[in-house]
Amino acid sequence: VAYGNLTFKEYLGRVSKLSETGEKVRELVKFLVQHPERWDRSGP
Amino acid sequence: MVCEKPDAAARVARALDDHASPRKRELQGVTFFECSRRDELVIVCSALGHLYAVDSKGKTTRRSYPVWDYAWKPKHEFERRSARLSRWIHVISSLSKEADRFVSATDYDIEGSVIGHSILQYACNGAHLKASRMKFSTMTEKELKTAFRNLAPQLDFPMVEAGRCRHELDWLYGINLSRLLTEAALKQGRGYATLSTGRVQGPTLSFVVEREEEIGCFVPTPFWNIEAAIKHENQEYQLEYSKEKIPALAEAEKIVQDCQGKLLEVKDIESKEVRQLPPYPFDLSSLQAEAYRHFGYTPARTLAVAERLYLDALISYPRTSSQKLPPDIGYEDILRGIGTQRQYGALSGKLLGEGHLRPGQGPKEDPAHPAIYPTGESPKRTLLGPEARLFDLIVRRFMATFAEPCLRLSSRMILETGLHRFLLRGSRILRPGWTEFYRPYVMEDTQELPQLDVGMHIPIARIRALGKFTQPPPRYNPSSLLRKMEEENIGTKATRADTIETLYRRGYVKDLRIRANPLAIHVTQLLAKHCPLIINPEFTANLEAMMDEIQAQKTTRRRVLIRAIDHLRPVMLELMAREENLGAELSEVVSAQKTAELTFDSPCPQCGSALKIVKNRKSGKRFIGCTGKWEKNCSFSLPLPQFGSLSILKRKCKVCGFQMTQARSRGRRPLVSCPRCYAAKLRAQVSEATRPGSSEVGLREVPQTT
Repeated sequence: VAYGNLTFKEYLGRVSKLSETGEKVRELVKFLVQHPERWDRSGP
Repeated sequence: MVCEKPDAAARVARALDDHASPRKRELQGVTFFECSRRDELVIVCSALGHLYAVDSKGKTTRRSYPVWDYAWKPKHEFERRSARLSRWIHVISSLSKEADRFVSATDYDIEGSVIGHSILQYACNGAHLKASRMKFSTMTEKELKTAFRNLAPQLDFPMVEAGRCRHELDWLYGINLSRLLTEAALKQGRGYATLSTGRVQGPTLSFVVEREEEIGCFVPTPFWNIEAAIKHENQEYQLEYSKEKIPALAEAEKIVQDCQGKLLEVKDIESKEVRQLPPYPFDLSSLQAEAYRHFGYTPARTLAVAERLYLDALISYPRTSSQKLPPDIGYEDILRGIGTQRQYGALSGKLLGEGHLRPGQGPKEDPAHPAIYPTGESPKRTLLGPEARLFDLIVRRFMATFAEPCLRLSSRMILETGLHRFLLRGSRILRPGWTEFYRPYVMEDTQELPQLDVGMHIPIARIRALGKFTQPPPRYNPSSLLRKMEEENIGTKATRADTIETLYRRGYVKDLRIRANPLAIHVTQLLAKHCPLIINPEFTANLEAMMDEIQAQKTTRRRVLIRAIDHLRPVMLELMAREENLGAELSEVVSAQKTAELTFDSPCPQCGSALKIVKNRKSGKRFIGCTGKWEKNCSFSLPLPQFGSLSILKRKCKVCGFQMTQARSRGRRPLVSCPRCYAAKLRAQVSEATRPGSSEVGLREVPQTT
């Protein structure tokens, strides 16, 4: 919504660079960068 | 007569003696006073806080659990650091044999009542049943004399029962759960660490851990603010866009594009008068919050300083939850007293000149004491920095509560171009009212509006879209954590600050912006998994409410204790059944935290090995040593503060880049210092002292501050 068309990879890159991002989210981002197939878009 | 502390005993004795010079006597190093009154001799002795406390009945090791049988015992019998209290009990006991009547003159609150009651019961051979109670809120001579003339015929037993119940409950929960956690971890053979939890400590720690979790799981969301300004008569005015947060970059850019270089039309100017009522008188928690906000004092430090002022008869009893000032404290006399001090003379004169004196009252009440107020007495000695600051805050707040409301003119100018609307806000003080009395502790922001009329046009001087991100919830600080405890009704006004200090001492939390250590997160998670009620604030708040009922004589201590034990027993049995699993998880974290606590991130500048906090086995002194001492023969070392609980901060020194350390001592400001800069200072002084012709004889101690 904020940036218009943003790919999933770009989104993760932006989130991991922000100082406000929590440590647990950072770990999750790291994991998703390595395993993008595990991202379930149909989830809640 | 039994007082709570030696300073209080001295003041009470001086007030009661006919010639204001009681005879000071000493027995086995314990001081007491003899006051001659017209028809009797009053012996005033003092306790040193609690002389008796709860401990397990009979002989048990300090490691066994669960323990259900307890008794009130002299503290020196089971606490090594309280050894000197045996002399106090012995002296009070021997003095009591000659006495024909007894008075408890301890502080008039739950803790004070328990202190007086236990001494009279155990050290004075059951004198609690015939003793009278002296009730006072300030240590002024006048109030002490009046209190002695109007002694209550018996002790305040409902308050005593509530206090005893609190001690017994805290002991039952604290001892059983803490021993279980500590022993479970110890049995895994990976080192010792005191792991504690309790009725109040558990929920308090869970607040910090919950916040840590929220921060850890936080995903920032972007948004944009429109920053715009107009220029009028060479002055710039900041505008607010009508929509505070713009959620998309494209939308923000469109607004900027639409408004760039356009003329704004003044559509409307609204003004209204706003009355700001004076602040409430201080109760303990609002005093602690205000002292933290203005001076950065932790709640424990504020309480310690306030108690000092109370013992000097400068302020009323600080452990109060009341926000009310009853007329019988004598408003006029106090203001006249305050007025004798040069800096308050004009302000107090102004209040006295206004005639009727009626203070603003807050909603909170305390049956035992009024809100905190200055007694009107002038300091008899020079007050130290923190004492002077806190005293000034209390005096100014007291005066502010009597003053008129502050009257402000709040204005809003609406400017538009096309579909876009901007706001310009201004505010001006019409009548300062109470703010005049509460300076410099009040924010007086004034923003005048430009001289523009409706229908006039003015160009936008600059406009841009500023990208920002939502922020994670802020970490608690000691003051906000105390406020949270109060909101949730956890602990009492007297014990909350101590509970927070315990969290630091146990290594569960660190830093002023409170950060939970991995150990705290694990302990809380384990308790949440196996016995969630222990960390449930509602459960603790329920127990607090039951203790209030004891004080109101709606229930009894026995009933509350039976209910609590019925709850605790199955929890303990369940935890004991899982002791091994618990221990394995805990010991791993304990061991990891111990290593992390002792090791610096900055490597040794000589050999590159890790630097650690080391203790000299012979002298017991601690210092920073290099782990390459044996392998690389590195002798690098740095000095450390020898007092207080030491922690290594993440912060780096601005001068040399080395990691800073922090030493925390009870009731003192944390000492933050750079060991490397301190060592450099010491070296410079040694070379100065040993230089030929130098007047310095030896090494002088340098205050270790940054």
